[in-house]
Order: sequence, then structure tokens, then C-alpha cells
Amino acid sequence: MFKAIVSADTLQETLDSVSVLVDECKIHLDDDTLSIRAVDPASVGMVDLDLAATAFESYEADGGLIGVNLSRLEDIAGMADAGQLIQLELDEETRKLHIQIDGLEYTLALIDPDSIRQEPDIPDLDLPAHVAIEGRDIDRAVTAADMVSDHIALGVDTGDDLFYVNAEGDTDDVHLELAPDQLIDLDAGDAHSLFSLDYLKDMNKAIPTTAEVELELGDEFPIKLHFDIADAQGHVTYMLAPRIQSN
Amino acid sequence: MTVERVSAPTPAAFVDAANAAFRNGAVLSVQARCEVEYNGRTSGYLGDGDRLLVAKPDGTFLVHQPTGHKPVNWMPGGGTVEARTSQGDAVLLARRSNPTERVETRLHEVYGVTRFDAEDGATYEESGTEAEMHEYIEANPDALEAGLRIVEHERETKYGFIDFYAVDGDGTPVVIEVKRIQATLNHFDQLKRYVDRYAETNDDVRGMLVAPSASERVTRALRDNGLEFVALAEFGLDAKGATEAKLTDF
Repeated sequence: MFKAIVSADTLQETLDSVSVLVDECKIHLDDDTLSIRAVDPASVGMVDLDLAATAFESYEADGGLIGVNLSRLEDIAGMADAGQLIQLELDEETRKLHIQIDGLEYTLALIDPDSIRQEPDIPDLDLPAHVAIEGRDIDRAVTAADMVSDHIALGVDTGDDLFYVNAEGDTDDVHLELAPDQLIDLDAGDAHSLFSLDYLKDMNKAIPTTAEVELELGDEFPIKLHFDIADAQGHVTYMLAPRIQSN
Repeated sequence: MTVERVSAPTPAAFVDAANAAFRNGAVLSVQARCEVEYNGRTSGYLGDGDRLLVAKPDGTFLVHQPTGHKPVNWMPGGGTVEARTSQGDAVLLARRSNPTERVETRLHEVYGVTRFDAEDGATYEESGTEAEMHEYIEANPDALEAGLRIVEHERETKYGFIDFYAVDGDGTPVVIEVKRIQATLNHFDQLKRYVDRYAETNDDVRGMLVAPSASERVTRALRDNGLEFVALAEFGLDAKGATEAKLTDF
């Protein structure tokens, strides 16, 4: 059983943060939370999302699992104006999701969850550096780095107590340093890792500029990015594998 | 003949040629102006246009437009493809049952059809995978150390799978951990756990980390803990001197 009413903004925000990595996903419909966990086909980027029942206008579920085509569901959600309500109801019999937006009815055929790529195990990592930063600073760093390179180095300088971003192109370079007073928080530890901008750019699209983003970093280790969506009723964690450099 | 080509066949001649190819397990490619209808998990329609259609003997069916690397419609292997005439047109119908899906292609004009009785026993092998390193080490233990003998591949222990359990020329056991990316401190920790486990019952156990490369820090940590590092550089790194790690590497 699944029946819910949610604002279009909340649904779009939720879908966007997953669709930057995968086209199809499984959605767990537990009694107090909707959750999604997915990894991209190359096993480089992962998303783990929880949306509390309180993020919905109304929410009833009892532990079901559905498979959806994300771009299709996003298209439908895009039919609603900001602030408009979207009604969702699962027909267990036909395995279809009935979606209603102000009189508009859309019946979405679901995908057999077994045919969707397995959900990832979240690697258990103890990352030494923690940085809390505004979403707009991530956007600034990623946008600038993208002008010169397809990779971006993120690190923490324990000596100078700095979070830094480096991108080296063939001719041009980008460098950004943020001291603790420019950050929300910095818990310095040895960290320097290189990441693919393709992935980080996509993840950045889903990070609200006003969000407080918590980064966990290590030395040639995956990065974790945590942030809230839906007025803090939802939480997203991205994890991205690094590019390993030779000596 | 391995390849037979018919230019501009009539619908009836096309259907005969196609069904004969399907019967005999040949690969069929068709150049045609066609429209495509999909029904299944969702539904869709693609209007008239020039397309390349490919039907493979395993039931795979692909509809390619003149540009783009992905087919615009497709059916994975496991289903069936058949040809028939309907209302004066040749029709290719690909379908499967779980989930129930069908791609129906109505061919308004067939420019050409090629039947290819293809034989191909090879499988694609990605280079530089951990499995490939394992195979290499199993076949060439001397590459790690002269006189080394592999006793067991992927031995299960309380702490997980040890990649190789071997003995050296003097009969001393060697625990070997293999990584496809530059060795990290995490990998060192992992090897150390395994070796400590063996050291509980055997004083003379050696630990060996095998990877394309290792940083100063990792080699120092290994050395300080009486562990060894062997570089198999041939399994490392692309032309840019870096390699994309996967989340499963950690």
C-alpha cells in the first residue's frame, strides 16, 4: 500500500538528486520514510537518499518496493507548477503508479525492481577531514574548475588550516582556498583526492546553493557529500570514487 | 556464402529472406524507411524515417537512427524476432514475455537487407581488472618472488577472503593481498589484519601487498610493520598516469 500527497518542489528535488546518477531506481516505501539508494553503472558515484514522511502533505506506506523510470517520473512531476500538490497512489494489482496533478491523471507503468541494478553496499570509511561549506561555494569551485579541466582536486591543508580546490588544465589553472572563517566548519585532517568533474558537476546540480554541505575527505579516498533537501525533512549523501594518481 | 545481400527486395521477398536468416541463426541487418512502435513497460512511437535495423540470433533487436551511438529502440536477447507482411508492408516484430514487451517495425521501403552467417567465439576482456591480476599471479608466481608457490586462491578467513595463500622457497607461509589501483593505507591495514591473524598461530608468516604502485607513505608503513610490497606496474594506469577508481575498490 502506498498513497501520498507531496508538493511538486519536494518531489522534483528528490528525483533530481537521484537522476543525476541513474536512469532507473528502486524506491523503498517504508511506513515513516521513503528511501532510495543507487550506484551509477561504472560504480564511481553513489547516492543514498531518505525523505521523511513529514516531508509529505500526507503519507501512507507499509514497506513496499517499486522500480521507476526516473526521467519519466521527472517529466510528469515537471507538469506541476511550483507549490502545486502531486498525488501518488500505487495500484498493487497492476503494478502501476497513479499520479494526479490538479485533475490531470497519469498512469505510470513501474519497472520490475529485480530488473534494476542491485543497490550498492555503502563502503564503511573513516575519513579524516570534515568540511562544512555552503552549496554556492561548491558551485563556484566546480564551475571554475570545469573551465580548465575535467578533473578537480579537493584537499585539506592541515598546516595552514585550509580547504582547497585545484584544477589544472593544459594551459590554465584554477585554485581556490577557503579558510575556517569562510567555511561553516573545518575539522582538518590529511586529505587530497582527485575527482572526475563529470560526476561532481552532476552532483552539484542537485545541491541547493543555500544548503549547508558536509564534506568528508581522505587521502586518495572517496568523498562523501551530505546535505538536506525538502526543508531538512530529507537527507542526501553522495559518495564519489577518486581518480588515483601515479607517483 | 557468409554474407548475402539483397537490394530493394519486395515485402514478400524480404519476409522470406528474414525468416530464413532467423531460422538459421544468422545476423540480419536491414536498411529501411520505417516506423516503430513500442509497447511494454511504457509505450512509444517513432514516425517514418531511414533506419538501420539489426536482428541477432539471440533475439536482440536494435533500431538505429542515422546518428547517435545508442539504438532509439531495442529489445535485449532472450526474446524472438519474426518477419511477416501486413497491409502490404513488411513488418519486423521483436517481443519477449518477462516483462511483456514488443517492438513492431513497419517497413515502408526496404533499401537493402544483409544476412551475415557470423561466427565469433571470443569474449571481450577488459584489461587491468583485479581478476586479470589474479590470473596472472596464479600462472606466474615467480613474478612476485622466485620460488614462490601458490597454495590457495581466495582462502576464506574470519576477516574475509585472502587473495592468495602461498609458501616461499624456504617453506614460510606468505599471505598476499592484490589491488588493481595504487596501494592505499587502507589496503595496508587490510593486509596487516590478515597477517596478524595468521601470526597468532604461526610465527613465521610473511605479508605481501601486490599493486601497480604504492606511495612513499604506504611502502614505509609496510616496511615498518615487517610487510612487503611488490609492484606489478604492467597492470597500472592509463596514459594520463592516473586511473579511475571504483567505489568497490574501497
